[in-house]
Amino acid sequence: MPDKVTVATTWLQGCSGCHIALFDLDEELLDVLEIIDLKAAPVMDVKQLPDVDIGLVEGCVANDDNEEVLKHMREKSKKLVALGTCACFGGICGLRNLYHLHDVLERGYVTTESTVDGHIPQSADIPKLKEYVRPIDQVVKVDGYIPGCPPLPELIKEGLLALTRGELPEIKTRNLCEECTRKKSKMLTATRDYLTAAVCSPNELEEIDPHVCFLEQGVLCMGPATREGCDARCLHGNMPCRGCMGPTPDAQEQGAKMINALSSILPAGALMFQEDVVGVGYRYSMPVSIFPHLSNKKKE
Amino acid sequence: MQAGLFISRDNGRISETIDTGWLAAQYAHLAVVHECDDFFSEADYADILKIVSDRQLDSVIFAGNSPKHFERVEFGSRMIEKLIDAGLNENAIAYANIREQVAYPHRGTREAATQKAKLLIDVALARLENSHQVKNISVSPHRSVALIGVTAGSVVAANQLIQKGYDVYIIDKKNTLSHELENDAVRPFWAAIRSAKKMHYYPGTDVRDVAGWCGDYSITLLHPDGSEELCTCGGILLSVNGHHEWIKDLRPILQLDVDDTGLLKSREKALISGQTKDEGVWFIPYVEGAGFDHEMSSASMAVLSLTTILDQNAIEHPVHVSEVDPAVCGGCGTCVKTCAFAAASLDVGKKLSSVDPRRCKGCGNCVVSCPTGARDLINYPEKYIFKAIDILSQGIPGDTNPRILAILCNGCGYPASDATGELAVDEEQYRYPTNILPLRVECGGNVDTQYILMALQRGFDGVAVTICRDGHCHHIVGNVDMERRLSLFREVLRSRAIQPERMRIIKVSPHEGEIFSQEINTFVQDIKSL
Repeated sequence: MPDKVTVATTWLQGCSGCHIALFDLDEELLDVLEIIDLKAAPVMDVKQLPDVDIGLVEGCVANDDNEEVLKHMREKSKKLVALGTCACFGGICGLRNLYHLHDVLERGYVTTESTVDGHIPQSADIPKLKEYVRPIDQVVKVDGYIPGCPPLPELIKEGLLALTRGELPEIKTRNLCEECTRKKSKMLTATRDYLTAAVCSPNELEEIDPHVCFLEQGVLCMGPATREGCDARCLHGNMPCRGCMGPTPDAQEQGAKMINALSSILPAGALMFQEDVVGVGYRYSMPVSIFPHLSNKKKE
Repeated sequence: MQAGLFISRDNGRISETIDTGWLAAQYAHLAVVHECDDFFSEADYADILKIVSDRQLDSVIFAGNSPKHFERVEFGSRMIEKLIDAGLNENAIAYANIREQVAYPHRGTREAATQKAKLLIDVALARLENSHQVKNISVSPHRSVALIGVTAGSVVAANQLIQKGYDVYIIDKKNTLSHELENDAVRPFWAAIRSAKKMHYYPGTDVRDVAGWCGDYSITLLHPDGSEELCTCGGILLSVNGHHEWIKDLRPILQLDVDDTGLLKSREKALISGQTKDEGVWFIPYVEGAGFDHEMSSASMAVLSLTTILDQNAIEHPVHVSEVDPAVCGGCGTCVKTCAFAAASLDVGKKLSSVDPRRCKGCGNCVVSCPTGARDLINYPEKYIFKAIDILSQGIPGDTNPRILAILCNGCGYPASDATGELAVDEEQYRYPTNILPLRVECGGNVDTQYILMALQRGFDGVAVTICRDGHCHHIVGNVDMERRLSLFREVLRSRAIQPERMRIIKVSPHEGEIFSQEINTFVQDIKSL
């Protein structure tokens, strides 16, 4: 039997959802384990990380510990792959770049509604939170990317299989409309009027039509500015895309691009008042924005 | 790249402010750097063409007069023609406007102006390095003209066109000609053509849509009974007098410019016939009480201009937008919805968008609106604009004024800034700080919010974006869409703790140099007080 490809996984700041997605391969995980030898993973309690062929990293770099773990993983891995949106683009955690570090800590430990006599923990044993959240490729060299929040289990499997063949995970490059099966009609009519008179959230609709483009129902859907590859799961679940696969390769910015795109399609005034334009546009990709943080944030 | 840099001293008017000798020395690495006194003098003109050919240059930069000036003066447009004939691509010719936008408005600040001139040349170089090749589509022109509106002038024009062997389609909203034929002078012209074989008269008919370009237009006619008909012709001549309502309807269909009174506006005021942006669309200007002779001269002039163009064997039309990249377009339909000219359409089966070059006006609105970046404007590639912002963000050493990026649209802001220069050369009150750094874009619709974010990220203190006045955008909706985008975008700036006041929209018409100067100086003061 030929040597199996060795793999180690780790998580930085995140929710462990990408590892759960790996387990969601269910019985297919057994096929994967036929060809890979999992040397280390957060649940395996391995003290000394061995040299491996492939390192899979979930989560973003948000504190000192994350940075150290990531750099160590890089040293030990021949190929390093960002697993999931936090590792690829910073993810949800990246939205904290819009706040000063002190405000974040204060909100978390002191001003939360359920907190009594809270204080910001001060201990040398607790890893220091960094001023900025970064995707892993802003800290170390990254060879491949498997985006998604979390990535489709099949996407992880295909990525791993590609890596065992010596290739990099292949991710699709079009926007999500490619995979979405909802019908468009008004979007494809060359008239300059707005699609709807108002913008609303899905639960404000009397009935969400499962067969019609969300934008045509006046619901902000991030699909146009988001990379395909997730099989449009949310759309099939009758919910609009939230943008977790990140921007397509030729667009620098998910948020700004979405504003460019939507301004003449949905009533701009309504967008401004009814939706959190920034939160929607940059929910998963703030740290890879052209301007990825507060302008007056402390230097690190 | 065999690039040549030609720097004009403009007979001292540039060199009194800009140290052109120092400037030339900075670009010694280029194949040719050549200083001259005036691009448009016979001697220098010949010199430049000779150098380009002797040294086999494949690209050139003109540092001197505004590119708008090249379009206006005979030696300018001829020089460009000659260079293209010599095999240079249109986008291998770049301009650094160091006269109207540097030497004139910054007279008396030699060092800073010279530094600014260098930045503008660097931007022009970036354009050469990052531009797409302009490709042309060749059209053999139809020998036919659609006359929209019946007036004494159009009857005369029809007569002359038929005599020249052209087919004529007269399209008129009115049902009868009685009013025009009251004029004794007109009647014989009408009698001569009314039953001519080449004459096609459509009374009570309106124009619903026009696609195509000079030499080959497809006009969708709307007949009184509601039926539609497609009319193909090589040129279009409008004669709609002071019919404001009709002008309003035709404006978005033919991208006509109108003046403040709502009448058709000619590109070239000196001409007796009216010239539009489209070389195949002309009009007979309405001059109240001008009389038949005047109208006849306008008509004859328009016919002469049109037939000169249409008598050619072939007309070359540039393609403005790159092919849509099938690797990233997922078929969202944003471009279809955004384009004001119905140029973008979607292959629903393939989920792939495409742009009809016959309808595309090259405004860049679909490029900006495309959320995937699947296409690019040939003349203003995104990569070039990002690079240009990067270069300009260096600012002018020694200038303590706020660093401001001025995004100027080709239609209004850019010529307005030129006009400011013309005023400022002699009158100090119109001058503005050197740290206002100009970036030309095609249209308001071509202003991507990403550019603004990038400028602020690179250290600009403010971004000024010029916008055409309501109803004046060459591309009909460029100003509207830009305003919508930027309004929404203020929220993004706020989220980064950037005061939204750092982005300002300046409303200006092409000739309004005073207003541009006033507004930009006010902006400088306002940013200082933030």
